[in-house]
Amino acid sequence: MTLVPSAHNCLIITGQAAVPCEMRASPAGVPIGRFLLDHHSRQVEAGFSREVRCRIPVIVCGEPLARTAGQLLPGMQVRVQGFVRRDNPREGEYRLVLHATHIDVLNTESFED
Amino acid sequence: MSGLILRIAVPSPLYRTFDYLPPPGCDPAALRPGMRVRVPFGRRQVIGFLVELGTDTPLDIASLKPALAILDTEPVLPADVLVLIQWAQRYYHHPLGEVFTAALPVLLRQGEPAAHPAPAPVWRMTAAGHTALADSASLLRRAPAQWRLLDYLAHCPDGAEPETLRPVVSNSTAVLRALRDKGWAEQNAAPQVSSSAPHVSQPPPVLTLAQTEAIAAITSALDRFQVFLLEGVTGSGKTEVYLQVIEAVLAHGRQALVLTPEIGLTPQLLARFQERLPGPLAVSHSGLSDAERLKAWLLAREGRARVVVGTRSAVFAPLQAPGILIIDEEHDLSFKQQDGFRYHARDLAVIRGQQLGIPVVLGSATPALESCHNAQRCRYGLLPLPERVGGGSKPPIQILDVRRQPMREGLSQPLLERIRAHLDRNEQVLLFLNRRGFAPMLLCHECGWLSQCRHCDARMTLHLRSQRLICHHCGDQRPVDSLCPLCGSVDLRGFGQGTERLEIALRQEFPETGIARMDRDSTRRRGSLETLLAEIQAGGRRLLIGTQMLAKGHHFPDVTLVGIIDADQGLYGIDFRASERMAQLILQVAGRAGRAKKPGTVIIQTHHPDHPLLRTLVSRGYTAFAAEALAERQAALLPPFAHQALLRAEAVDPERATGFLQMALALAGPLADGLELLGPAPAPMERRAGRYRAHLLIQAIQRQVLHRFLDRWTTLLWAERTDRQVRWSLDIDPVELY
Repeated sequence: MTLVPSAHNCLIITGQAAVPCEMRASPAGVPIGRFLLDHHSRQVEAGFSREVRCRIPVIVCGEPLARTAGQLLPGMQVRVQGFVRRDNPREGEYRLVLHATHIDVLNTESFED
Repeated sequence: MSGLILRIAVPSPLYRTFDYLPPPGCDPAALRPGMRVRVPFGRRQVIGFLVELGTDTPLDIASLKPALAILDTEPVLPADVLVLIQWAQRYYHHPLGEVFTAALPVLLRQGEPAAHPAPAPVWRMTAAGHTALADSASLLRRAPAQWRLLDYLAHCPDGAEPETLRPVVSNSTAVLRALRDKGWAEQNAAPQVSSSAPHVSQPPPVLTLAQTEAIAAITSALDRFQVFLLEGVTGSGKTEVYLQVIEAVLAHGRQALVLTPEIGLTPQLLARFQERLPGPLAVSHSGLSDAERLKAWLLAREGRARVVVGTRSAVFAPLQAPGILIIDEEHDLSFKQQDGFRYHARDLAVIRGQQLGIPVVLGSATPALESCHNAQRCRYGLLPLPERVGGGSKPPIQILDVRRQPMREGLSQPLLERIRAHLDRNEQVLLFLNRRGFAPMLLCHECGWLSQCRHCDARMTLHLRSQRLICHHCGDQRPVDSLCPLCGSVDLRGFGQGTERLEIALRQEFPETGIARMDRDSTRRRGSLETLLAEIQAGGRRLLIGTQMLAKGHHFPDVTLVGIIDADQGLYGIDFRASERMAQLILQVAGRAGRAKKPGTVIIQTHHPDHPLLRTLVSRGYTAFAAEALAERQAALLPPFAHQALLRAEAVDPERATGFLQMALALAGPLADGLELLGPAPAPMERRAGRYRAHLLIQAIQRQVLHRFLDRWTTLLWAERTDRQVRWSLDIDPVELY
């Protein structure tokens, strides 16, 4: 398989952080964070409006993204832009994770319910 | 005319001596074998050894070069060591020049005189200096550096070497000159080395019956050759037996030579020897400077040191009146030299004892199977010490099955709970993990890439604190990758457990507890080992983490729990000696527990709780294990029931290494009656430091058959014009296959 560097792989998604971002560092000292994003919206499909829900893990690597993600609390609204990757290379596992390249925090209120 | 010809052994891998003429103006009557001679060799000058004086040479006498200088007025080694060297050269089939070199301290190899160097002059304070110092206030204000140095000298009544003054002030040389010009300090010769702390003879401790019997057996044989195997469980007081036997030897006006493994030569052991035995102790190990080693060597040769303690190479120590040879931890692998001249110091000690007609004592809690076998056949006198001194019982060993257990950084929950319980009782816990570094490899979590060494068939170890990947086989290192070189992910992780990782995990688990980690990395700086040991000796609640460095010889009275973190790595080695090694290591580590009044416990974490080796060791002890292992060796006709030699070859190109071995095999064919030739086969780690390694194993039931073959075969091998790209070596009685 040849690599196509310019091939499209871009996902922009808004939603709520479902859990605080778990932070760690790679042995070389690169910060790596992971949190779950809950998405809930209405979209148009086949001409009809419908409801969409999903939950996707977001991976955040390196400064300054990790600093932003480190401050996320459950319920905070974010817009994440990035690329998706198969989480587990094992046969039959197709779960995707989103690797963030940009994170915008849309509001700083966390929810308590 | 019949000229005198010097046959010189030159330190080179050439299996022959070289003929030279005596240097001009030299008195032939003063020449003795064993003297060092400076000779021209190729384009260099080297220090060679006079092996023999001859009158004929196969070469044209006119083409012989004269030696440049005779460096000694008497042979540098005593006659008995020369005999030992010649024996070793024949037995190990190794070039004589290199054998000589191995037997001498570095400075003597380099041609330094075999005499104590003049002591460096020291600085002393004068009477005028005392007066000046008394008027301290004004001097302190005008010349603070001079004041500091003067004040320092005031505390050195014996004077201070210039080197030691360097750290006192920034420019000590200039300040010293100023003090001398004012007449406040002077430089003069150092006083003669006074022998260390005066010897106060201490009442010996009360002996167990077994100790008394062992001492009696050895001291009744001081006038003849006899090998004793002192098989004493850890903590049974082997050192006390050595000490009392040495005292008896000294009383006969003879000297004692004690060999210990590098790791076993602890400050504790030396302190104990110094306390109990009179006179200066000659100590030789790799932590000393070349000058210190030469000094110890000379003290031994002159007979001023009555007791000589050293590591492997001390087996060649010159003694003025040898009386006994003691090898502590005789099973230890470090007694076998693993490169160049591959001798076994324990085996050579037995030969030396035989040549000298003096007893040899081999001591260990876990003797090598070779020694057990010799004791079974009554070639060695067996002296068992089955009980711990002070009646302490052997710590119970528990096998902890960690299958399906949640593990936290290699630690199971039950082990963590036990650690906590012992710490809460203000006791010490020792955790053994024979792998230094943070993790034995760096792994890409996304694609599975591993930190392979560029030069070896091995992974590079992750060292987190120093931020480096280091190959523990060839020493190559590089910074830790930030990205996976294969897929570009930053999610790289340390895979597996090393002592550094264990330390970090335990700091989180027990933040209020002092942790001492002891491995090659944490003790690299001079004096750091001593500091660590002092901390441990101070007692109280503490966690000790370490590799085999921690496992041997130390006496930690407050340790009541020993945890073996990972027993599995040693259970399934490919070497037929793997199980013997593992059993020895487990028992050595276990022996650290409960050495004082408090009882100890040992816990072994394993995924193979039913492994027969663990079962036998735990329920029936080392003697039972050794008997089983020897029965297996006998059935498989492996050493000590057969004798081996290993011809190793390595080259950048794998074909060349095998090609050389094929040639060697062809040469061996017609001679190989009564022996087995196995190979050529690739070494267990085929590529190391960029070279491919292969070997040919030669095995015979009869030692004489093997050596008769080797004598003829090596002559052919040395005569062969071999591929210069191939490096090869012959290992007699190999202890490791790679």
